[in-house]
Amino acid sequence: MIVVGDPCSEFVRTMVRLAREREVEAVPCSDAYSAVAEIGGLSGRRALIVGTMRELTRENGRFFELAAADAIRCCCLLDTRAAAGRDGVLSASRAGAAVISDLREAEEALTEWLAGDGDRPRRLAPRDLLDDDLRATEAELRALLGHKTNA
Amino acid sequence: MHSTSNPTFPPARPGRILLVGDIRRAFLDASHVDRYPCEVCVNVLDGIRAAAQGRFDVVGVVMDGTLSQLGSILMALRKGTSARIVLLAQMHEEPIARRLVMADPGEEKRADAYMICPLRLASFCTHAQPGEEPQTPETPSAEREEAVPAELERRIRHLERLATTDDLTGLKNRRYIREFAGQILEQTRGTGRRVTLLVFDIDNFKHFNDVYGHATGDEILRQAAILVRRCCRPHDVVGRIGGDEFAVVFWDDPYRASGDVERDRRSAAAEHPTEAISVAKRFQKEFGNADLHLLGPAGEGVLTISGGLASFPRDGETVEQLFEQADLALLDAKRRGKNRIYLVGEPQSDIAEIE
Repeated sequence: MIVVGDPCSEFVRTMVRLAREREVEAVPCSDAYSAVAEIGGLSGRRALIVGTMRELTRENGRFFELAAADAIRCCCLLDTRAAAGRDGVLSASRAGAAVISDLREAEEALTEWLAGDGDRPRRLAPRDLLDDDLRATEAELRALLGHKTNA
Repeated sequence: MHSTSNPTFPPARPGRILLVGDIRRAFLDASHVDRYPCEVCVNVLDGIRAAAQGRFDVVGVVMDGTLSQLGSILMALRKGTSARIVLLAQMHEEPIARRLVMADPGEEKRADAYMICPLRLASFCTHAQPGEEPQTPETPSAEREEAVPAELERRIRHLERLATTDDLTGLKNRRYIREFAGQILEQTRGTGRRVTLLVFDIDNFKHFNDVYGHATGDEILRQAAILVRRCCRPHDVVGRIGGDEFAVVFWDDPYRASGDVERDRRSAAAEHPTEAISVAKRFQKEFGNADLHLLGPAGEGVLTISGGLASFPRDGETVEQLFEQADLALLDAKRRGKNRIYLVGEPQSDIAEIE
């Protein structure tokens, strides 16, 4: 698991601890650039990326596209104290990344990924998203915003 | 990727090269990149990924536009590749590039070399390779022919270095200082950042020359250059602009200021940059304490300077205006008894009186 964010933050320290408790190799990366270097060295190994929205949305969301190209699952933590940026949330959603709002959800994402359900099918481009993916993402967003789903 | 039709390439053993960033900013012939053994990634993240996955001998990073995150980007590149990292810097970025290729104690170098743009791709592909001479500035030379043999290219670069350096002191020369100041003003315009110019000379320098001889005068200039360089921040650009006259361009280093933009903008609203004033005060103190052994027992504490500080955009919008204002302040400092540095402004004030 690659954990992206300030290494001293509670988020990163907790995620690294949770991963190690589950005997998952955890690689903390302070920023998206460093995380991309890690992805480049994965050589096809399965991985989960958990990071702050601020870091993962750098370079206009290109990070998500790179992760999606390698079928790597991304989870973005919204920072409720900072302006998350509508574009960031959208680019995360379009690339099939999960948007989470707290550590509990991050832990759930890790558990789901360990169970083998966390990987998304490899897509060549965001436009290849399936309708189901979009619905799931919208549901996630609605849940985050506290809205009820119409479905 | 190789081109047999290009007379400048290949060199003896062309290594694979990755270019990261907008190469149009770096190369005069960027549109011909497909003639060279180069892969190009405009997006930085793509570049880091390619570097981690590919077997490149050289990674060239176009600095322009990536300054605020440059440290992180270079660290990520280092993490993913053992390739030689060469920074492609504009003239005004040279101080930052120079610092990035010199590691702080206990730290790994962020980059291995830098080259000043614009360049020709053939030149970069030849000189960026491991084992080639690094950190050699190349000044703009749009007229340069594409087909330049390596030896001639080296000579040209040597001449270019001579053309921008003051051979007596090793500082930058007048031409470089003016060109650099012009470029940095253009970069700074409208950003809220600040640029301050200090022009100063050594008090009674003619007296030292007349009494002790020109060799002693030259040695005083060399000592003065060492003192000035020692007092400045690494990215400030120092030059001798004539006789005993020196200039320093103080500017905001966006690489260092990253993540602290608000603080930076507040500082810019101040009448004069406090950092430039404190550095100038340090000059005066260092000069006052300098012991010029070559003058014998009378050499202690005799070296004083007078100067003028002008700030962009407050005191001038162009290089000419800033030099003019700083020169006027310097003359005023001389008239009022020397051994002082005046700020341009209404009224002019001695920096010694500023807290």
